[in-house]
Amino acid sequence: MEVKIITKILKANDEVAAELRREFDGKKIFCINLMSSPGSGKTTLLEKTIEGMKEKTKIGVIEGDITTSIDAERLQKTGAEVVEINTKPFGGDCHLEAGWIRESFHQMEAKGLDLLIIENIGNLVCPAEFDTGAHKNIVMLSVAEGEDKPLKYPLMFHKSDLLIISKSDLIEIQEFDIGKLLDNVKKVNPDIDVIIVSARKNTGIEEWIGWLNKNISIKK
Amino acid sequence: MHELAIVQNMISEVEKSLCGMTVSSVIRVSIKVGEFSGVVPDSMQFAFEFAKEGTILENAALNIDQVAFKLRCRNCNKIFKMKDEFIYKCPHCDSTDAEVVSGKELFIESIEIEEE
Repeated sequence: MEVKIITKILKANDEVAAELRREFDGKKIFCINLMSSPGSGKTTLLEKTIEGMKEKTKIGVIEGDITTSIDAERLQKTGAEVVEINTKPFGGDCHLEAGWIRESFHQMEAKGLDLLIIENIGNLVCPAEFDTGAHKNIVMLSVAEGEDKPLKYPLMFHKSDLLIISKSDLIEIQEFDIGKLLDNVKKVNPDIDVIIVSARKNTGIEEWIGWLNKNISIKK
Repeated sequence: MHELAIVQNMISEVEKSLCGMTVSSVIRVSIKVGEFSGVVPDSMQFAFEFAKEGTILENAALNIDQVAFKLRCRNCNKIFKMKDEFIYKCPHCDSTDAEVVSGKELFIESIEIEEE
Protein backbone atom coordinates (compact mmCIF):
# COMPACT_ATOMS: atom_id res chain seq x y z
CA MET A 1 0.00 0.00 0.00
CA GLU A 2 1.28 3.42 -0.92
CA VAL A 3 0.76 6.26 1.54
CA LYS A 4 1.10 9.85 0.29
CA ILE A 5 2.58 11.95 3.03
CA ILE A 6 4.21 15.06 1.49
CA THR A 7 6.36 16.13 4.43
CA LYS A 8 9.39 18.35 4.36
CA ILE A 9 12.40 16.28 5.35
CA LEU A 10 13.73 19.07 7.55
CA LYS A 11 10.27 19.79 8.97
CA ALA A 12 11.31 19.26 12.60
CA ASN A 13 14.26 21.64 12.21
CA ASP A 14 12.17 24.22 10.33
CA GLU A 15 9.49 24.16 13.03
CA VAL A 16 11.98 24.71 15.84
CA ALA A 17 13.60 27.51 13.81
CA ALA A 18 10.23 29.21 13.25
CA GLU A 19 9.39 28.94 16.96
CA LEU A 20 12.76 30.38 17.90
CA ARG A 21 12.28 33.32 15.53
CA ARG A 22 8.95 34.06 17.20
CA GLU A 23 10.65 33.89 20.60
CA PHE A 24 13.35 36.34 19.40
CA ASP A 25 10.65 38.67 18.07
CA GLY A 26 8.77 38.51 21.37
CA LYS A 27 11.96 39.36 23.27
CA LYS A 28 12.92 42.07 20.73
CA ILE A 29 16.19 40.37 19.86
CA PHE A 30 17.71 40.62 16.39
CA CYS A 31 19.47 37.36 15.47
CA ILE A 32 22.01 36.76 12.71
CA ASN A 33 23.55 33.55 11.39
CA LEU A 34 27.14 34.20 10.28
CA MET A 35 28.57 31.63 7.88
CA SER A 36 31.83 31.30 5.95
CA SER A 37 34.66 28.92 5.21
CA PRO A 38 37.27 28.36 7.95
CA GLY A 39 39.75 31.22 8.26
CA SER A 40 37.75 33.98 6.58
CA GLY A 41 37.95 36.07 9.76
CA LYS A 42 34.55 35.63 11.42
CA THR A 43 35.89 35.67 14.97
CA THR A 44 38.19 38.65 14.33
CA LEU A 45 35.33 40.64 12.81
CA LEU A 46 33.11 39.74 15.77
CA GLU A 47 35.76 40.91 18.24
CA LYS A 48 35.81 44.32 16.50
CA THR A 49 32.03 44.39 16.21
CA ILE A 50 31.42 43.69 19.88
CA GLU A 51 34.11 46.20 20.93
CA GLY A 52 32.44 48.84 18.77
CA MET A 53 28.88 48.17 19.93
CA LYS A 54 28.99 46.97 23.51
CA GLU A 55 28.47 50.32 25.20
CA LYS A 56 24.98 50.69 23.76
CA THR A 57 24.07 47.14 22.81
CA LYS A 58 23.79 43.92 24.78
CA ILE A 59 25.20 41.12 22.64
CA GLY A 60 25.12 37.35 22.97
CA VAL A 61 27.10 34.91 20.86
CA ILE A 62 26.47 31.25 20.12
CA GLU A 63 29.78 29.90 18.96
CA GLY A 64 29.73 26.78 16.83
CA ASP A 65 32.87 24.70 16.41
CA ILE A 66 33.52 21.04 15.80
CA THR A 67 35.99 21.00 18.64
CA THR A 68 38.08 23.34 20.91
CA SER A 69 36.93 26.47 22.71
CA ILE A 70 39.56 28.75 21.13
CA ASP A 71 37.02 31.06 19.44
CA ALA A 72 34.64 31.09 22.41
CA GLU A 73 37.48 32.13 24.72
CA ARG A 74 38.53 34.93 22.35
CA LEU A 75 34.99 36.31 22.28
CA GLN A 76 34.48 35.96 26.04
CA LYS A 77 37.31 38.48 26.49
CA THR A 78 35.16 41.12 24.77
CA GLY A 79 32.62 40.91 27.59
CA ALA A 80 29.82 39.46 25.46
CA GLU A 81 27.90 36.49 26.75
CA VAL A 82 29.15 33.44 24.87
CA VAL A 83 27.69 29.95 24.75
CA GLU A 84 29.66 27.36 22.88
CA ILE A 85 28.37 24.44 20.86
CA ASN A 86 30.93 21.75 20.10
CA THR A 87 29.52 19.30 17.60
CA LYS A 88 32.18 16.64 18.26
CA PRO A 89 29.88 14.70 20.64
CA PHE A 90 27.26 14.61 17.84
CA GLY A 91 29.76 13.09 15.40
CA GLY A 92 31.58 16.27 14.44
CA ASP A 93 28.68 17.75 12.56
CA CYS A 94 29.55 20.33 9.96
CA HIS A 95 26.58 22.63 10.63
CA LEU A 96 24.33 23.88 13.45
CA GLU A 97 20.70 22.84 13.79
CA ALA A 98 17.87 24.87 15.28
CA GLY A 99 17.41 22.57 18.31
CA TRP A 100 20.98 23.16 19.46
CA ILE A 101 20.60 26.91 18.99
CA ARG A 102 17.45 26.86 21.15
CA GLU A 103 19.21 24.92 23.88
CA SER A 104 22.19 27.29 23.86
CA PHE A 105 19.98 30.36 23.78
CA HIS A 106 18.09 29.12 26.83
CA GLN A 107 21.37 28.91 28.74
CA MET A 108 21.88 32.63 28.21
CA GLU A 109 20.77 35.57 30.25
CA ALA A 110 18.45 36.78 27.50
CA LYS A 111 16.98 39.68 29.45
CA GLY A 112 17.79 42.94 27.74
CA LEU A 113 19.63 41.20 24.90
CA ASP A 114 19.55 43.27 21.69
CA LEU A 115 21.63 41.18 19.31
CA LEU A 116 22.25 37.45 19.13
CA ILE A 117 25.04 36.32 16.85
CA ILE A 118 25.31 32.71 15.74
CA GLU A 119 28.83 32.03 14.53
CA ASN A 120 28.24 28.92 12.45
CA ILE A 121 30.80 26.22 11.77
CA GLY A 122 33.35 27.16 9.11
CA ASN A 123 31.96 25.49 5.99
CA LEU A 124 30.42 26.89 2.80
CA VAL A 125 28.24 23.84 2.10
CA CYS A 126 26.29 22.26 4.94
CA PRO A 127 25.20 25.24 7.10
CA ALA A 128 23.25 26.63 4.12
CA GLU A 129 20.79 23.77 4.42
CA PHE A 130 19.60 24.28 8.00
CA ASP A 131 17.43 27.16 9.20
CA THR A 132 18.86 28.27 12.55
CA GLY A 133 16.03 30.60 13.55
CA ALA A 134 18.09 33.70 12.70
CA HIS A 135 16.40 36.69 11.06
CA LYS A 136 19.22 37.21 8.57
CA ASN A 137 21.76 34.89 7.02
CA ILE A 138 25.14 36.40 6.38
CA VAL A 139 27.94 34.88 4.33
CA MET A 140 31.47 36.13 4.71
CA LEU A 141 34.16 35.64 2.09
CA SER A 142 37.75 36.81 2.43
CA VAL A 143 39.54 38.15 -0.62
CA ALA A 144 42.13 35.38 -0.20
CA GLU A 145 39.51 32.80 -1.19
CA GLY A 146 38.99 33.92 -4.79
CA GLU A 147 36.25 35.50 -6.88
CA ASP A 148 34.73 32.21 -8.08
CA LYS A 149 33.31 31.00 -4.75
CA PRO A 150 29.68 32.15 -5.31
CA LEU A 151 29.58 29.98 -8.44
CA LYS A 152 31.13 27.00 -6.67
CA TYR A 153 28.93 27.20 -3.56
CA PRO A 154 25.77 28.74 -5.02
CA LEU A 155 23.32 27.61 -2.33
CA MET A 156 25.22 29.43 0.43
CA PHE A 157 25.27 32.70 -1.53
CA HIS A 158 21.70 32.21 -2.73
CA LYS A 159 20.38 31.83 0.83
CA SER A 160 22.25 34.78 2.31
CA ASP A 161 20.84 38.27 2.76
CA LEU A 162 24.23 39.92 3.12
CA LEU A 163 27.73 39.23 1.80
CA ILE A 164 30.62 40.55 3.86
CA ILE A 165 33.84 40.68 1.87
CA SER A 166 36.62 40.49 4.45
CA LYS A 167 40.39 41.14 4.54
CA SER A 168 39.99 43.99 2.06
CA ASP A 169 43.50 45.20 3.06
CA LEU A 170 44.79 42.23 1.02
CA ILE A 171 42.98 43.19 -2.21
CA GLU A 172 46.13 44.48 -3.93
CA ILE A 173 48.43 41.73 -2.66
CA GLN A 174 45.95 39.08 -3.81
CA GLU A 175 45.23 40.95 -7.08
CA PHE A 176 41.62 40.38 -6.14
CA ASP A 177 38.96 41.58 -8.58
CA ILE A 178 36.01 42.91 -6.52
CA GLY A 179 34.00 43.63 -9.69
CA LYS A 180 34.30 40.03 -10.80
CA LEU A 181 33.20 38.75 -7.37
CA LEU A 182 30.18 41.07 -7.40
CA ASP A 183 29.25 39.88 -10.91
CA ASN A 184 29.48 36.26 -9.75
CA VAL A 185 27.46 36.75 -6.58
CA LYS A 186 24.70 38.64 -8.43
CA LYS A 187 24.42 35.68 -10.81
CA VAL A 188 23.29 33.43 -7.96
CA ASN A 189 21.55 36.08 -5.85
CA PRO A 190 20.56 39.37 -7.51
CA ASP A 191 19.11 40.74 -4.24
CA ILE A 192 22.09 40.26 -1.89
CA ASP A 193 23.54 43.26 0.00
CA VAL A 194 27.31 43.69 0.14
CA ILE A 195 29.64 45.26 2.72
CA ILE A 196 33.44 45.31 2.30
CA VAL A 197 35.52 45.24 5.50
CA SER A 198 39.00 44.94 6.88
CA ALA A 199 38.98 44.14 10.59
CA ARG A 200 42.74 44.69 10.73
CA LYS A 201 42.63 48.17 9.16
CA ASN A 202 39.25 49.04 10.69
CA THR A 203 37.63 49.85 7.35
CA GLY A 204 33.99 49.13 6.63
CA ILE A 205 33.35 48.30 10.29
CA GLU A 206 31.22 51.41 10.75
CA GLU A 207 29.02 50.48 7.79
CA TRP A 208 28.64 46.92 9.15
CA ILE A 209 27.73 48.16 12.64
CA GLY A 210 25.28 50.58 10.99
CA TRP A 211 23.64 47.66 9.18
CA LEU A 212 23.30 45.80 12.49
CA ASN A 213 21.94 48.84 14.35
CA LYS A 214 19.36 49.48 11.65
CA ASN A 215 18.09 45.90 11.96
CA ILE A 216 18.18 45.97 15.77
CA SER A 217 16.01 49.13 15.78
CA ILE A 218 13.48 47.47 13.43
CA LYS A 219 12.98 44.73 16.05
CA LYS A 220 12.38 47.23 18.90
CA MET B 1 28.44 15.10 4.92
CA HIS B 2 25.21 16.82 6.00
CA GLU B 3 23.34 14.15 4.02
CA LEU B 4 23.59 11.88 7.09
CA ALA B 5 21.80 14.47 9.23
CA ILE B 6 19.20 14.91 6.49
CA VAL B 7 18.65 11.15 6.24
CA GLN B 8 18.23 10.94 10.03
CA ASN B 9 15.65 13.73 9.87
CA MET B 10 13.87 11.90 7.07
CA ILE B 11 13.70 8.65 9.06
CA SER B 12 12.25 10.44 12.05
CA GLU B 13 9.60 12.17 9.87
CA VAL B 14 8.63 8.78 8.41
CA GLU B 15 8.38 7.30 11.91
CA LYS B 16 6.17 10.21 13.00
CA SER B 17 3.86 9.88 10.03
CA LEU B 18 3.42 6.12 10.54
CA CYS B 19 2.72 6.53 14.24
CA GLY B 20 -0.59 4.90 15.13
CA MET B 21 -0.66 2.71 12.02
CA THR B 22 -0.13 -1.04 12.12
CA VAL B 23 2.79 -1.40 9.78
CA SER B 24 4.75 -4.64 9.45
CA SER B 25 7.41 -3.15 7.22
CA VAL B 26 8.19 -0.25 4.95
CA ILE B 27 9.09 -1.28 1.42
CA ARG B 28 9.97 2.06 -0.10
CA VAL B 29 10.30 5.73 0.71
CA SER B 30 10.02 8.12 -2.22
CA ILE B 31 11.48 11.59 -1.89
CA LYS B 32 11.92 14.63 -4.10
CA VAL B 33 15.30 16.31 -4.10
CA GLY B 34 15.83 19.52 -6.06
CA GLU B 35 19.05 19.97 -8.02
CA PHE B 36 19.58 23.19 -6.08
CA SER B 37 18.79 21.74 -2.64
CA GLY B 38 22.46 21.15 -1.84
CA VAL B 39 21.88 17.43 -1.36
CA VAL B 40 23.89 14.87 -3.31
CA PRO B 41 21.62 11.87 -4.09
CA ASP B 42 24.50 9.34 -4.05
CA SER B 43 25.63 10.56 -0.62
CA MET B 44 22.06 10.33 0.60
CA GLN B 45 21.72 6.72 -0.61
CA PHE B 46 25.03 5.89 1.03
CA ALA B 47 24.01 7.47 4.36
CA PHE B 48 20.59 5.80 4.19
CA GLU B 49 22.14 2.31 4.04
CA PHE B 50 23.56 2.53 7.54
CA ALA B 51 21.19 5.08 9.11
CA LYS B 52 18.19 2.80 8.48
CA GLU B 53 19.56 -0.10 10.53
CA GLY B 54 17.40 -0.87 13.55
CA THR B 55 14.64 1.51 12.41
CA ILE B 56 11.26 0.88 10.81
CA LEU B 57 13.00 1.49 7.47
CA GLU B 58 15.48 -1.33 7.93
CA ASN B 59 14.26 -3.20 4.82
CA ALA B 60 13.17 -0.19 2.81
CA ALA B 61 14.57 1.15 -0.42
CA LEU B 62 15.08 4.86 -0.93
CA ASN B 63 13.72 6.23 -4.17
CA ILE B 64 15.12 9.67 -5.00
CA ASP B 65 13.42 11.74 -7.68
CA GLN B 66 15.58 14.69 -8.70
CA VAL B 67 13.78 17.90 -9.65
CA ALA B 68 15.33 20.18 -12.28
CA PHE B 69 16.47 23.67 -11.34
CA LYS B 70 14.18 26.08 -13.19
CA LEU B 71 13.97 29.84 -13.08
CA ARG B 72 11.44 32.42 -14.24
CA CYS B 73 12.85 35.53 -15.86
CA ARG B 74 11.39 38.65 -14.23
CA ASN B 75 12.01 40.58 -17.43
CA CYS B 76 10.49 38.42 -20.22
CA ASN B 77 8.55 36.05 -17.93
CA LYS B 78 9.88 32.93 -19.70
CA ILE B 79 10.84 29.86 -17.69
CA PHE B 80 14.30 28.49 -18.29
CA LYS B 81 16.38 25.58 -17.07
CA MET B 82 19.95 25.80 -15.85
CA LYS B 83 22.49 23.55 -17.46
CA ASP B 84 25.92 23.39 -15.84
CA GLU B 85 26.08 26.36 -13.55
CA PHE B 86 23.52 27.56 -11.05
CA ILE B 87 23.38 31.08 -12.38
CA TYR B 88 20.60 33.54 -12.96
CA LYS B 89 20.85 34.44 -16.62
CA CYS B 90 17.91 34.24 -18.98
CA PRO B 91 18.90 32.57 -22.30
CA HIS B 92 16.07 34.43 -24.06
CA CYS B 93 16.78 38.04 -23.10
CA ASP B 94 20.09 37.87 -21.11
CA SER B 95 18.46 39.42 -18.04
CA THR B 96 20.01 38.38 -14.72
CA ASP B 97 16.85 39.18 -12.79
CA ALA B 98 15.14 35.85 -12.21
CA GLU B 99 13.40 33.84 -9.50
CA VAL B 100 13.58 30.14 -8.66
CA VAL B 101 10.54 28.11 -9.78
CA SER B 102 11.77 24.64 -8.86
CA GLY B 103 14.91 22.82 -7.77
CA LYS B 104 14.92 23.59 -4.05
CA GLU B 105 12.65 20.69 -3.06
CA LEU B 106 13.56 18.42 -0.19
CA PHE B 107 10.51 16.47 0.86
CA ILE B 108 9.05 13.01 1.34
CA GLU B 109 6.41 12.26 -1.25
CA SER B 110 5.13 8.81 -0.33
CA ILE B 111 5.83 5.63 1.59
CA GLU B 112 5.02 2.12 0.46
CA ILE B 113 4.09 -0.09 3.41
CA GLU B 114 2.98 -3.59 4.23
CA GLU B 115 0.21 -3.66 6.80
CA GLU B 116 -0.02 -6.31 9.47
